[in-house]
This record gives sequence, structure tokens and C-alpha cells, in this order.
Amino acid sequence: MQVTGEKGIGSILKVILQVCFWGGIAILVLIPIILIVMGEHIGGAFIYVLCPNGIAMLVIVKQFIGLFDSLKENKPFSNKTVKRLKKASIASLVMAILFVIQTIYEFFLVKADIVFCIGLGFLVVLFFGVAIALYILSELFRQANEYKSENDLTI
Amino acid sequence: MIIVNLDVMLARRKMSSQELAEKVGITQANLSILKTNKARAIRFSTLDKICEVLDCKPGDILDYIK
Repeated sequence: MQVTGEKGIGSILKVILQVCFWGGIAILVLIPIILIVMGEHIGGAFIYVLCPNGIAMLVIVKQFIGLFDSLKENKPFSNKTVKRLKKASIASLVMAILFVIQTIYEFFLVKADIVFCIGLGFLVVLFFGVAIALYILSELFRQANEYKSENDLTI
Repeated sequence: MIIVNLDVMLARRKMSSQELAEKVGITQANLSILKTNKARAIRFSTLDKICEVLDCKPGDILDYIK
């Protein structure tokens, strides 16, 4: 399956990512407003976990939009790509840490349903894994970028 | 570090960078990378051609400074 080029799915994926990004911003802004309008109480979980998690997710999506741009420009091996992958990795790590805090909070303080806590634990493992994968990928791209520049600067 | 003294040899041979690039068969951009010491490596084939065109030895173009 081709990602770039005329027949590539890159442009469709980029549109999907753009929709996710702007939709995410809209949801982040609208949820507190809707909750206030409905007379619901905005809990600590929203302010301290869901909202920062949303922002971290938006950071990841933004980095992926940037990665698609560099693919389109035919410059995948650059310092920008390495920085974008590192930023996405850090954002994913932040999400994992926030889910750890939420799991502890739900399990020990709220005494929430065990299935819900296991679900949160699964999210912790998932985002921690994603953070490690993205960090490894960024290191891979850093080395590839070094090889590329060495090749480019061999006359 | 290794430095490239191409400018000196070009001045001695009264040759322009463009002429050298054309005769050696490399682009002016690559010759500029070489002259400004930004190159990470130089192929033996390129060095051979430069020496042939400028009628000199590799030691006349390359120098080592601490």
C-alpha cells in the first residue's frame, strides 16, 4: 500500500488526523461548557486527568500530522522527524503516568469497579508501550539521519 | 582535523571553481561543500580526478591540523 504519491493513502490519513486534531480541540473546549450548561459538576478527574490526557493526545496527533508533511516533502530523514517522534513519545509517557494516577485514585479512593480499574491498567501498559516504541523509532530515525547526512556529504 | 586546501591549488593553477567542477564531474554545490570543509568524506575516485585535473598530489589538497 502506497502512502505518498497520487495513489497514496497519505492525503486521506492526513485529513483523518486533521479531523481528529480539530475535533479533539472542539471536544476539549465543549465538554466543560456542556457540563456547566447541564448543571453537572466538573470533577477533579476531568481537570487533572482527562483534560491533560486530551492535550497530550492532541500533541501526539499534531506530531503525526507533521510526520505526514515531511513524508509529503520527501524529507523523512531529518532532525524534525526525530524531534517530532521524541515529542510524541514524551506525550505518550505523560498519558501513561496520568493513567497510573487515575488508576490509583479510582482503585484506592473511589473504590471503583475492578473491571474499570483493569481497563485503566491496560491503558497504562498501552501508552507506556507506545512511548517506548516511539522513542526507539526516534533513535532509529536519528541514526538513519546521521547515515544519510554522511552519505550526502561524501563527495 | 583534515582541511581541504582547494582554494590555494585553484589559485596556483589559475582555475575557477566552475571549471574544476566541470572537469572533475561534480556539481558546484558539492565542490563548495568540499572547499568549505563541510564534507564528511571524499571518494578516492573524486580525489583522483581532482589531482589529475589540478596536476597535484593528494597532500597538496589535504592537510592535517590539530
